[in-house]
Amino acid sequence: MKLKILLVDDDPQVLQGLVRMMRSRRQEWEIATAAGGPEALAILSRQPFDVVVSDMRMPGMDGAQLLGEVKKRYPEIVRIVLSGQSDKEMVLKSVMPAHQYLTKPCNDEILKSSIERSCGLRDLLADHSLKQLVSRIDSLPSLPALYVEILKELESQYASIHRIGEVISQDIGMTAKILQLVNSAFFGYCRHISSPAQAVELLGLETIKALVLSVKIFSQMDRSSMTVLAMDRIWAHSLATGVFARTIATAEKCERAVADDAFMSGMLHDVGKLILAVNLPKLYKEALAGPRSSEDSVLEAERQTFGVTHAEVGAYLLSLWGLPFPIVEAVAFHHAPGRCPQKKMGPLAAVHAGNCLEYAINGQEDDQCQMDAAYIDELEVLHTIPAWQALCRQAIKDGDGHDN
Amino acid sequence: MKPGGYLQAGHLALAISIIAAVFLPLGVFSMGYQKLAIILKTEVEANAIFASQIINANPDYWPFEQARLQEFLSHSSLTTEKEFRRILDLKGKTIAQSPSEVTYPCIIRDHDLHAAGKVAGKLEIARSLRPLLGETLIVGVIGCLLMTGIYLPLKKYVLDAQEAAEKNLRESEERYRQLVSNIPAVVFKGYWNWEIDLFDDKIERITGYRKEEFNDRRLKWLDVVAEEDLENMRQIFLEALKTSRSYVREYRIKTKEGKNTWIQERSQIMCHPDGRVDYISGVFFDITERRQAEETLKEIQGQQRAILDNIPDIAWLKDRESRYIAANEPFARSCGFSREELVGKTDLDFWPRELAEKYRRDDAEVIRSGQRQLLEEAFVGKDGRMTWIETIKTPVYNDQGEIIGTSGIARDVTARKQAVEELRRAHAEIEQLFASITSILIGLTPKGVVWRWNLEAEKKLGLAAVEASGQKLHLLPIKWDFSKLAGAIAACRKKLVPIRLDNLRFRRPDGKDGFLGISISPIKAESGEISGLILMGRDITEKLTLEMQLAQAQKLESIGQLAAGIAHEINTPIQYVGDNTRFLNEAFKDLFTLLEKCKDLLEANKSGEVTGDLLEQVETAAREADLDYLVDEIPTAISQSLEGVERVAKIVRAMKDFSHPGTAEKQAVDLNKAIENTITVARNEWKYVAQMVTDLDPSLPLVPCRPDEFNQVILNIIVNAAHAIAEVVGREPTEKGTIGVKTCRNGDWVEISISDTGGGIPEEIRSRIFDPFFTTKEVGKGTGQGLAISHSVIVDKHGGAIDFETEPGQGTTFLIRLPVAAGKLE
Repeated sequence: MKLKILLVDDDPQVLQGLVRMMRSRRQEWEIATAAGGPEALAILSRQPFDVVVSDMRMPGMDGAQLLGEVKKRYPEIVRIVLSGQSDKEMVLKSVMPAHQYLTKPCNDEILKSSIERSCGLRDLLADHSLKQLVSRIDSLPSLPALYVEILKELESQYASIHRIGEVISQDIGMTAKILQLVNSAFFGYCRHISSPAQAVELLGLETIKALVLSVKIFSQMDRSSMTVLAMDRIWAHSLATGVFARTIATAEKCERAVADDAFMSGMLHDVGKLILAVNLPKLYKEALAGPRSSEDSVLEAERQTFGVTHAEVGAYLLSLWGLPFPIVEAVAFHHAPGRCPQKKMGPLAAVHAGNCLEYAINGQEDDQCQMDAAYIDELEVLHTIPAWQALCRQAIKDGDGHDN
Repeated sequence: MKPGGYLQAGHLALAISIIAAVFLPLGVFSMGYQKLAIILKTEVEANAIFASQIINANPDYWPFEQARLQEFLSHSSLTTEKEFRRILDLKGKTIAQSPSEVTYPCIIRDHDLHAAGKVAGKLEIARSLRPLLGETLIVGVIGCLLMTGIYLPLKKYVLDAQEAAEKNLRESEERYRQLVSNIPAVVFKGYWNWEIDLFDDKIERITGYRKEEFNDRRLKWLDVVAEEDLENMRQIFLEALKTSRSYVREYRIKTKEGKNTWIQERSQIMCHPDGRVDYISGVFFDITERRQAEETLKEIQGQQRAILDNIPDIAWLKDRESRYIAANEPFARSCGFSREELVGKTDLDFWPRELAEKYRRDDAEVIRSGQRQLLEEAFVGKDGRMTWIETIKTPVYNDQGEIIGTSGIARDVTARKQAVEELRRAHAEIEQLFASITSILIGLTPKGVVWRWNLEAEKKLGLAAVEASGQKLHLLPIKWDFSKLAGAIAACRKKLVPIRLDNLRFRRPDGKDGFLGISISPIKAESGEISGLILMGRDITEKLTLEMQLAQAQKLESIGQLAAGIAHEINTPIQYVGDNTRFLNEAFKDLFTLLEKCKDLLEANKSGEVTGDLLEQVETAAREADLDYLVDEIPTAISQSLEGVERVAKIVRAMKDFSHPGTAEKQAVDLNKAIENTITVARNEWKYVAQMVTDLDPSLPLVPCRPDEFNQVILNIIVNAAHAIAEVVGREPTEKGTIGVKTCRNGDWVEISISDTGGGIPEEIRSRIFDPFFTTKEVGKGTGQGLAISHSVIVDKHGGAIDFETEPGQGTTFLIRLPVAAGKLE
């Protein structure tokens, strides 16, 4: 089935150019065009689409408005902005409704890969309503303590970008959102992001302020969600997994960038749990109600209830948000690395091992997960696991719970 | 002098002489005589007894007893022979007699001789008076001598005294007469029943009636006295009667002519011992003139008093001892005593001790020195409020030129003092102000001499005030463009309005060149004449630099603002040019594949080995290449790409022209082109909200201007127009507004009008839109300099005009006029 893409721009020449440019994918993609928001909505109402790529400034209805409408009506559609505007106000407007933000002139590879990446995991989530649910998410809730802290810091007269970076680094939701923003062309950054703190520094204090205080990219987790899972534990686990993953990647002489990705993947690997707990608290709670002996039983319960596990759910969101592919991949397969076609020492392997080690070191007895020995062995690092373990314990001792 | 005086004196002297000369001997004689008489009488009586005894011896015939009697007579003559005795019978016949002869004159005494109880005869004794007379004569002579000795000096003394007395009398009389005749006084004697006696004709002068009319009782005094004064007269009279019996009363009388005359009567009431009034003795004075004078005086005094009371100052009179003699009403008010109470009091009675003593010391000083004194002193009124008074104390002299006291006049100068104080303070403040003023401040006299040169002037012009003061401005050793300054000063003098002089080049004390901004203001005297000039200025070098920087910043701001828009403008064509090129790349790959197949087919055809398989391959390649689509799309893609490239080229050109490197020189500019460029550059600013309708006059001449600045102005106005429209239609409108740009020539002017269909400029900010830093945009957006700089560019730098018309709800039209003539080329 071809991917159906709707291009929206008020400049017909741009549309024609785009269509011509995408001709090379004419086998996979089906392209439609609309000269403006209202026309786009009309087309959408007639047939389903997978992706909408919209210009920002258009007479009558701007891109943000259009995508907001699309999000409301057809939440499962991937929403991408392709804009020549670098007007910050305009950008901020599109932060919430758009999954990704691309700037003109945009070379065909970027556009094509963005579309492909955001739709690459589309098939992972077979369930339509789950897809809708994830597509609709524009922010992830934060731990109340951290949320309060970041507000306090931002509203302070002496707000420190460093301190803000520290707080964001400790929160799964904030980290995910910040990484979305910096990985997208929202603010024009097209470079490797090494850590949430670095991302924060790249955005700058003013932008962070505007994003947090005006656009409200962060939100506070409500009490009912808190009861579904031991959130504090998940946070601690995620942070530790991030640290472990990086430790392992470093130990295996991975590049710095890979180690960074490993850290961030570890940090975000359980984002799916968060999504399920927050958006489907009742269902998720029921699913987890049964007796379970290990993390694997949790996966099983999730699979029975949702057809997928938190790994796929989280990965799908991160792919929609345009996070780097290695991270999405690591999150998606952190419980089943063997399913990943790529077989090399990278973030996925680090997160997989880090995750299991974290449970082994800090977890309870019923809170364990099985390392994929076959996969590890395939990477020829099986023998180094004890060394990893020692390094990870050392890392905990060093209090390397934060970034870097 | 009367002759009687002499006589009396003579008589007195004579009488004393006579007494001495006559009565002394007479007295002697008389006393001698008396003594003799008594002696004789005693002798005769005693002798008579003896004789009687003799007689009685022969009573009947006593004459017979003659012998015996004789004897007796002889024997009884005891004393002197000058005694003669005889006895006579009744018939007078001498019976017996003493032997002595009688000498005359003599004194004779006799005594009856009784015989038998009957008078028988008498005994006579005579004694001669000669010795007595002799004594008397001697005494008389001595008396005469004595009296003469007494008389003569006495007479002289008496005469002298008499003469002096007479002289006195004469003088006194003379004086009296003069008095009586000269003073308007009439002596009178009055009676209980108002009758009077007059002794002087002058009554006629006073009353018009003659003296006789009163003296003859034809008139009584009551007849002339004014009735209204009667009661008072009675009272005085009765009062006097009870006390001293003398009185003075003043009243009016009616003269014969019917005039009122004032009389002063001074009288003494003369009473009988039993207390009844006998008469009244007194004088009348005509005091009419005095009365009139008094009344006049009173009137004058009243007037003076009215004046004194009505002046706001307090005034008083004091004697030598600083006692108040008089004071005016304000004084009374201020001290809280009535004027009557004041008299005789001293300052100590009214004022606080310390003040009072000071006042008295001042009085004493005035009296001592005889100098008028002007004092400023404290004064505490009745209400306890302290005020300041200015007092003039002057000595008061009597006719002899002696100081008899002081007079004072004082006024409340609190307000003045406060005003002075205020003025002094204001002055001090002004001084302070001048000192603290951070501008250069130079004061010039009308002749251009420096009289003020403040600290800032010292600092900024490097010339000390002492060096500058009193010098003519043009002679000061300051390197500045004095001819420009002089021109401005002359203009200010002429027009009498402040003249603003910007950009006066000068050499700073540090040797660098700078600019002064100076405003020259005339100081106008009340007469309207110019009484000086004030030059106020400051070193505006930094300001000018800042202004230039600000203008630059504004330019950068608008370019920055444009940059995003321009980026978008360029991004869009680049996007599709890129897309099209990639498409062409893909398309040509397919076409080349097809061409390869076709080539193969052609070659096969040449060799006659065309196989169905080959044809099939060609067809497949053609199908895969979607040849029909490519045939349609390739030319469009190329033309659109070329168009896109042209679009980019145009924008880049416009941008280049727009940001024409600023030159200080004006150059001939095609305004239409400049406007079109600016519209292009700003396209992204307006294209979403407005249609651009241009009506540019192709016959527009080249206009001398600075193109970068001009473009800036047009850009500012177009951007503002777009914003104004966006406010009405929204940022992404379905119905766009319109921006109209029109140029035309109007005489020596080129007119550019830029209109929008925005909401118009609200009334309340119309007057401020050209003000620097005025902005309606959010804080942080826009420097608020756009229109201010536009105004400055058009008006100041190009000698043009910029104005606007605005209609709420309809839009705004900015109208710019630039002179075609190159007159202002610099």
